[in-house]
Amino acid sequence: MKRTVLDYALKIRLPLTLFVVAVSVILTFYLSRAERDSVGYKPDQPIKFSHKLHAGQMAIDCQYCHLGVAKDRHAVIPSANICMNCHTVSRKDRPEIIKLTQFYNTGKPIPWKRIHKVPEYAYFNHSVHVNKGIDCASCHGDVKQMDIVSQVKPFTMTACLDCHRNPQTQLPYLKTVKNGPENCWACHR
Amino acid sequence: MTKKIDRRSFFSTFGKGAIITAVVSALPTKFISSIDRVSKKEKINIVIHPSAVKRTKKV
Amino acid sequence: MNDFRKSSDKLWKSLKDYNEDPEILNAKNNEFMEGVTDDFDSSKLSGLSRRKFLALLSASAALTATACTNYRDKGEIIPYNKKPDDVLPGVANYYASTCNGCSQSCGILVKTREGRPIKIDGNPDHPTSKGKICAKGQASILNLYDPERLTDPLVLRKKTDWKSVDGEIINALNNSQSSGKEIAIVTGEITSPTTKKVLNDFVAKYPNTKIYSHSLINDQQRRDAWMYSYGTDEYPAVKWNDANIILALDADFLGSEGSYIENMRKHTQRRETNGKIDFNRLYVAEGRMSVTGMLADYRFRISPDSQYEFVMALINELSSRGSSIVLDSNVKSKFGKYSSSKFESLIGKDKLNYLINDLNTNRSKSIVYAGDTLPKEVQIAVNFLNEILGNTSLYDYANSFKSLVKHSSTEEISQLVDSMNNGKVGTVIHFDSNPVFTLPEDFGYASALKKAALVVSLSETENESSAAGNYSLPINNQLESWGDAYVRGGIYSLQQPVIAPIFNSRQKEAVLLTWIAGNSSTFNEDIYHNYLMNSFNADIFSKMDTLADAKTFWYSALNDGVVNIKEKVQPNKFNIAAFNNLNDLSSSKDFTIHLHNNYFIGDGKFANNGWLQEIPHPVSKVTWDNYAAISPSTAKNLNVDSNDLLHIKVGNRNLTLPAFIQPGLADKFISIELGYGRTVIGEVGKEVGFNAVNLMSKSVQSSPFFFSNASVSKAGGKHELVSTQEQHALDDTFVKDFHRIRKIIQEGTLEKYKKEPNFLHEEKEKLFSITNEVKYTGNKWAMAIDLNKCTNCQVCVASCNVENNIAVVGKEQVSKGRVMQWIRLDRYYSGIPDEPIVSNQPMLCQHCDNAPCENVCPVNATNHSPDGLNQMVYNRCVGTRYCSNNCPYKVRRFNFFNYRDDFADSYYENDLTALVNNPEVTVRSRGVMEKCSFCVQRIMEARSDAIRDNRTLKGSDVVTACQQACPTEAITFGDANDPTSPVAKLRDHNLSYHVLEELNVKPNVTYIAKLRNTHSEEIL
Repeated sequence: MKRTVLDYALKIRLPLTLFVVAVSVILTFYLSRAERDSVGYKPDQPIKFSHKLHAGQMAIDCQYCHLGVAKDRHAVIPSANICMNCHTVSRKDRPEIIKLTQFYNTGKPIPWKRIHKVPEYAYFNHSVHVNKGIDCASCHGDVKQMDIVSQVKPFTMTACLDCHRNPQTQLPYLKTVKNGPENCWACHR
Repeated sequence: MTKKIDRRSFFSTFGKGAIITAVVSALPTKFISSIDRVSKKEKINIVIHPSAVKRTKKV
Repeated sequence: MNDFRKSSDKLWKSLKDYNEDPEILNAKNNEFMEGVTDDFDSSKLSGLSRRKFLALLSASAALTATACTNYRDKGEIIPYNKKPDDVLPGVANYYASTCNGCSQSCGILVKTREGRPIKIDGNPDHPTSKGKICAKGQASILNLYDPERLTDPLVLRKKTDWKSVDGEIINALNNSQSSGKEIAIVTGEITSPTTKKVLNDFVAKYPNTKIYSHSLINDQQRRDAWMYSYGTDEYPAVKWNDANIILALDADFLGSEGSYIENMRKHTQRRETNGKIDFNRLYVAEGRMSVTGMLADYRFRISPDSQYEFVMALINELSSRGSSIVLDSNVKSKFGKYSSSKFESLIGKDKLNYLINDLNTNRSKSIVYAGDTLPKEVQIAVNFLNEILGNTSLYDYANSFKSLVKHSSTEEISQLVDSMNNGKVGTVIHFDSNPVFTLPEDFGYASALKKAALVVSLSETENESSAAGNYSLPINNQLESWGDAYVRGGIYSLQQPVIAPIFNSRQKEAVLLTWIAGNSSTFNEDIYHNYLMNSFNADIFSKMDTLADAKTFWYSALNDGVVNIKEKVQPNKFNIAAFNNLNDLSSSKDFTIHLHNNYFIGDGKFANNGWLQEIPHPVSKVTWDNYAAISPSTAKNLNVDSNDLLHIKVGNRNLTLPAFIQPGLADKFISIELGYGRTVIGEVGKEVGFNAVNLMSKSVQSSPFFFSNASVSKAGGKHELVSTQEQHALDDTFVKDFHRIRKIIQEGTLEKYKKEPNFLHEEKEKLFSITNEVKYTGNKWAMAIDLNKCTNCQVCVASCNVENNIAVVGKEQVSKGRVMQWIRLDRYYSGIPDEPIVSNQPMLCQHCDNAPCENVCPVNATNHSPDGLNQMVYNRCVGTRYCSNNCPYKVRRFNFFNYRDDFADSYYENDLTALVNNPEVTVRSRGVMEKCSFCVQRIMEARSDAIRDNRTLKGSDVVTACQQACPTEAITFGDANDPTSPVAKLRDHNLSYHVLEELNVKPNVTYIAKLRNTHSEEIL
């Protein structure tokens, strides 16, 4: 029987196209997941600061360094002079501390690599979340156990809304918590 | 046959022209020409005046 | 394709081939020609084949591509190195200072973020401005970030450094001094007592120095009049809030003259519809249509040249009914010859009688006020009239208007020009002034400058005077300067820098101090700071009755921004001889030209400020231009229409500029605003407007601001005036009174309101909805605007522009209706073109509950929040513009271009100007729709603070930018669900209404109808 064009199209081309499309969509989805929600991003920092040592072992409170987290929108990466509060004296012969002191003395700010970033079209407000009792670990993971900080939770809008719509199950340690705002202008103003 | 060739060459020129226009219009010409301008300007220093007295009253 | 040749056919390539030449046969047998492989050495070939090379190339490219971009890279986050104590990133700091926009020197609070000033508002502690400033003050923040500011000292337009400049100028000053030549310092109006001290020190060091003070917009006529009448040139303020009747003569005291922010606040205290109604009545007699004229209950069209006769006629009428001062026969004969009959025909017998009766029955509780541009003869007559009526009890001597350095007279300036022409002037210093622009042509100042040995200009930007000189020295912007101000009695205001000088500029007083010291190295950043502190300790602190030490007191004064000092006030007696000796002025039959202050660019200093150029004129709504305003009947007589060029000739001075038909103007009268037409200025201000100083002259008969002997003719050609409102003819039947018919403006009179308080709601229809009503629990944001208080001053527009990063679009785009301001002030006329009744209405996004814009967005970029706001999400908007199409109020603005990129060749798209942006508000790019957001960034910030402090968010916690700026508190904002809030009460007010209520869009902006205080119950 002679093969018609339609035959050819239906039996060979169509399944082939569908297969290619499906594979590329699935591949792109999973391969780009890291880029889309940045889970697992663990860059090297200019100075090997270890949260495990400072926040975990030495139990320094998060808010000692991250000053703005309960006061205003930004959590604030600590400036060098906060580090030098202790490190003018403690461990000042270690190579990383020498790097730190050099930065401090030359007046150059330390260019930390940013890990957690909400896109610029969304205005995230730290103090509202912290003042409602939400623990740092609920979004940033167990930073106290991290030598090098990495992002462990996805920072997509879906992730935010999952918690906003269902805080009782997502944050079981809070006794009384209402749903977070769902309207656009809460974040996208 | 010539009609097909003419049609073909007509549309192929158009197609090429369209692609070239699209590419050229997408080129960052303003950005490239402004590299010169931007690189000449120095960094602007914003320094809070050391003797300024911040207002402490709740406005 | 089938091979149609027979297999036996032979194919041949050449004749040799055809002939079966043995050479060819041989060649066909060999694969290669002879000698082809002679130089072939396989060991010498590269090991990299073509195939391998291509593979390697593409693989390395792909690898580089992936390696180059770490797609997860989010950049860097960079903290401070040594964080300043005061600063927490994200939290704003406020600093108290003083504004230098005009000579009123209002107290300001500067809001800074991470060290950058981003907003200027009034200082609530300042007794006269009480937390409010004008549009110029609001938008003046852009001048700090002007890309064309002078950054370094220039000598003959070439960059140099301060050390050499100081050295050269000190030499020049010493030379001028030793050779007996004059050193002239030309300044604007001096408002700072410490600057005055520095100038005196300069004169002490270089005794040949003469100080000349000249400003284009001045109140010299009033000061001269006061000197004649009361023996002092310091005149008192007026207690407007205590006046039952106000008669303003060509006085725009609510719009552009004097301390108008204070005047507005005091005037509207008597326009309160909440609680007890105790309205004042405002009579305005003016030639032009000013903001004050728009608010008048009764308005008379009397041009400035007739004001003298008008005042005299009033004196005649009122003194015959009683007088608080003794009038002898001399005085009586002076005014006796003026009768009011001339004015009966001009303004109507009944209206004139109303005025006379009101002034008569409200003696000592009314005020007659003459404008700054009227000559001193009129001012003295007005003083006399107030004395007769006993209105002097309304003079507030506690905060009188001080005069630190007297304005130079025309004789003194002519003397300077003569000295310059005769080579007797060694150095001329322009001390933050622009005399080449502000002095009338016939002084010959510009040409005389060429004969001076050295001309130094100290200014923020290049201007006409610095371009005519040798040295252009950059001085600090007001936000980078130390200073003080003492312009009102008892109120000492301090100015502190909130930012260290961005460029290589210096404090202008510090420059003088360096030259006084005679050595360039005496300069450091602090010399004027220390000088100011010392002066403060000596003059202010020493007189204070306080337990604090000097340093603490200084810091607390800087914190507050204002020090109240006790001053003895002593009102003087009126000198009746001043009245007796008046030169009588007569009105003219020719054209009168009136030159006056503009509303937004000062004496030209703000001409390069895009925001201010784009704010529409309060009356005509014209942007980016000035014009010659003429009345409709005069226009008909001259056969001109708006935009036609007019040729105005006064003596041998002339000016050609476009006409603008302004309803309500006096006939045979033209009003032009000064300050436009700057030539040496940045890109924004270039060729904007026409310079009316060209019509001024040094030889004036009465006031330098109006001329009665002008001739006006139609010149050929047109100049397009761009206005944000349609300019219809008032008697066009299609649009006549449409705002009243469609109930956009609902008004009443006080008489009607007293009789029937509920008259506005009598005909209200009940509206029903076919959809489910949404229940709003919690906060529901709403706004109420009181039209009794709105003066169309545009400060709300300026404040919104600064707060929300509104882009400047330029004249051409405004002509297409693409102005980007989120709030606009509409102005409607009703009545007849020659005597219109004017209504003002602020219009902004109404945040409708049933918003017609929300239903039609194809991508759901605009929807409603649970607290009552209509949300506009920029990152979702695709630019369909269906929402703007549906909006009945037309308050949505679309970004047709990336205006920062498009305006004036990306003028405002640079690193410096980008610093003025408010970091809490998105900067919109091309293709998105924007509109008023009820300052959602402030709502969110207040909500965040409430959560931090563990309290509920109240409506009074949030103050929108427009509400904060409005000098009359016409705008109220708050929570409609809170029954105790002011806005909830205003929503239930007798006079409340919504615009286009019948559409049932349920707007959340409530308007309180205006009540006019006329003698009748009907408006028209």
